[in-house]
Amino acid sequence: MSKITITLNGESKELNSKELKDLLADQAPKDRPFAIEINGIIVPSSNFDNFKLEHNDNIEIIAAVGGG
Amino acid sequence: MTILKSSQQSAEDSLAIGSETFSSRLIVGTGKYPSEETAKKAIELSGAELVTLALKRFNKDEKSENILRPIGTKKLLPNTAGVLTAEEAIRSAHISKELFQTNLLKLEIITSAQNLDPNMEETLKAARILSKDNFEIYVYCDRDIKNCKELEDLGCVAIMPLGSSIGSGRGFDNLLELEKLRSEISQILIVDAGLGVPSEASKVMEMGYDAVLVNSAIAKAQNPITMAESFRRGVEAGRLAYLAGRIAVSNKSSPSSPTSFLK
Repeated sequence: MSKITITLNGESKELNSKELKDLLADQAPKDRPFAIEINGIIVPSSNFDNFKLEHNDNIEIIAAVGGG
Repeated sequence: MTILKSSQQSAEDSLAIGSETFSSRLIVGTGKYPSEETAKKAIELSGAELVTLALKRFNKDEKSENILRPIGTKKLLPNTAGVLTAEEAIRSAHISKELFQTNLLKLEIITSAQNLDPNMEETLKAARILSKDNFEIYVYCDRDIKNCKELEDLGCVAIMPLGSSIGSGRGFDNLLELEKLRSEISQILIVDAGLGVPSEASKVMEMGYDAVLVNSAIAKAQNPITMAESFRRGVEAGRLAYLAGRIAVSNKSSPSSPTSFLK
């Protein structure tokens, strides 16, 4: 399978899989909810399992932090 | 005279903001605590039912606490902190809605990373758009009556002028402006930012403000847990005083004892 290059949280990354769920299994938090934005569009969590990434996608993994 | 226990007082004096109703009039932030355990105890002792939190990129290689653990079952008020433009705020709002499954939003657009005072042009622009999109907007803003009135007219559920700069602990840069705002704005008014001590929270509650939002003054106190409780009491005292109705201020003395001896 060919590799794709994406940008994850502002940094370039090479992936072996186009499955979003594989990226999330490796990079997303296990102990708290998170949101995914791809190319500026929010991906609902119900779509995670079937979502296919493309070369040059810009992906953000966002979680909660303390704030005022 | 009937003395109300604080629990009775709370039940009779609830605070309705948008679709939510609270018995506490203290909203607390969750940033800057020295530890998760301290945050948990302080948030609990503050009595707050609504807490703010923020968004950040998640990096699995950076150690980060799960802020949702100390928050427990409190109602969440996600903020748009760190954004400089309406466009970024709108993006942050939609991410929060997806992440926390809530329509509540603290709209906060700062001037720059160094100047955390509100950028009102961008704040008004964002409020105009988000108010049409089913958000319940708690808006961090300046003390300008015209700006606050526009935010009120746009349907923001809470107008939140700053007391002084975020995290400064200075209290009030202009108390008179806050007092004038209270007389002009009928929507929920909350002082957000800059408070340092509970007497300042009491002061604005005595003036008829509906609530206060405090983060740094509690989280960065030498003893955050005790300071959280002191803010709870300060807010309650101020609210009770407002409900009790203060005496008129006079330049003349007025005796509370007989003015002549044994007559």
